Amino acid sequence: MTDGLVRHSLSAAELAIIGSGVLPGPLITSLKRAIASRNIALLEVIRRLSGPASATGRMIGALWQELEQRADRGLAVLVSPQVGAWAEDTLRAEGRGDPEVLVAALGRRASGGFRLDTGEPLRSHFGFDIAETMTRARWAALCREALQLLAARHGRTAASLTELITTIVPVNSPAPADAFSGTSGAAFGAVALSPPIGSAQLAAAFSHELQHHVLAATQEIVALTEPDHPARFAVPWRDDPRNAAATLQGIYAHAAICEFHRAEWRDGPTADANANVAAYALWRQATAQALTMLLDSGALTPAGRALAEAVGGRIFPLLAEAVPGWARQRAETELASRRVLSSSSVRYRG
Amino acid sequence: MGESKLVDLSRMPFAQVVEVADEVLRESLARHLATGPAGHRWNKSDCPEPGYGDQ
Repeated sequence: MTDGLVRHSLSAAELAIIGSGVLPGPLITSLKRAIASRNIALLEVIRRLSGPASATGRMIGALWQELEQRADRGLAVLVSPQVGAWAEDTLRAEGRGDPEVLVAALGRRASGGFRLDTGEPLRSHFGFDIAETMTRARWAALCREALQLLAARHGRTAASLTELITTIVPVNSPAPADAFSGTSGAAFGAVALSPPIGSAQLAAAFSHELQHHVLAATQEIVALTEPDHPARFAVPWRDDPRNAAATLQGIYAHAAICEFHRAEWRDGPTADANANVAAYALWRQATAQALTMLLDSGALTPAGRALAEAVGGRIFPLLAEAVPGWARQRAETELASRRVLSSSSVRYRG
Repeated sequence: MGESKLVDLSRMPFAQVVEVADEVLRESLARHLATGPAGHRWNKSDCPEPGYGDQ
């Protein structure tokens, strides 16, 4: 670049590290700084659109002044999901957003390791009914137990989690019989969760949703898939065909789920071993086959391929690991029943 | 690995953000805004995972 401005970047080696699922601290900081830059750009565009003298313009101007005085707070404030969600939703509404909502959200304090946030702007951003069936004390206890589980058997996930996920939005599951978890790239650091039935389920959901945030931040810096590529992929975790970017998101998240269930099967509670080996057998095969389709599709950019091949380095060797015959058979039956994962399942739209 | 357009505003003095050119902000947000809101969201609501809820 010749304008003297520094751009965010990721080398092939760094993309491979992200694909490996083990994120060193400096790389986590790089991803957070990319999100901060995006949110600064969103806020400044809103300030200009709204007019510097408007209530919104004055609020954002005051935020710049405050952060100028308190530079140590800057990164934490700017990567907060409340800032990202408000900025995203306000800009997409052409600058129409209530600045008091953001001021109030930034004024709320976290309690414990996570902030349990039921207010705006996250409430509207996620768009689900807030779950009120579980007390804050119960949420705090389950989060503590889930973090203990992760720290005990999934140390690298636990380390990244505490750096990247700051906020839980408790929501009612759209399908009440099933647990729900979801993320938004705009609301970096937040996870919408239905009340979990236990700490193991919560730990698995954390492991899954963390990956979406990592990949979302990566994609703010570099394109991982070819824009407008026509390929659509039938993947076993969705009923609808997915484009390449969404398929890569699913693969990356399920690679972590494979590793979660593998570790729980091998080293976790004996009572849960069968459920964990069944899940492991299913998702290693599903993830490997979806990844094979994506690698063969031509829909990945060189950056995406560097990352995806590193994911393959985690997943493909797992296929050779012996698991109980019933678990392997159950996985094959499950995948066959979904009628996916054949070469013909790559669909193209014109 | 592909040229990023996202300028590192996180290391800039906050007082200088108001002086950043419109074009730089537009370029920085181009990749993000090229994807609609739904493209930035992921969930497993329609992919119940065996072993999660029935352990």
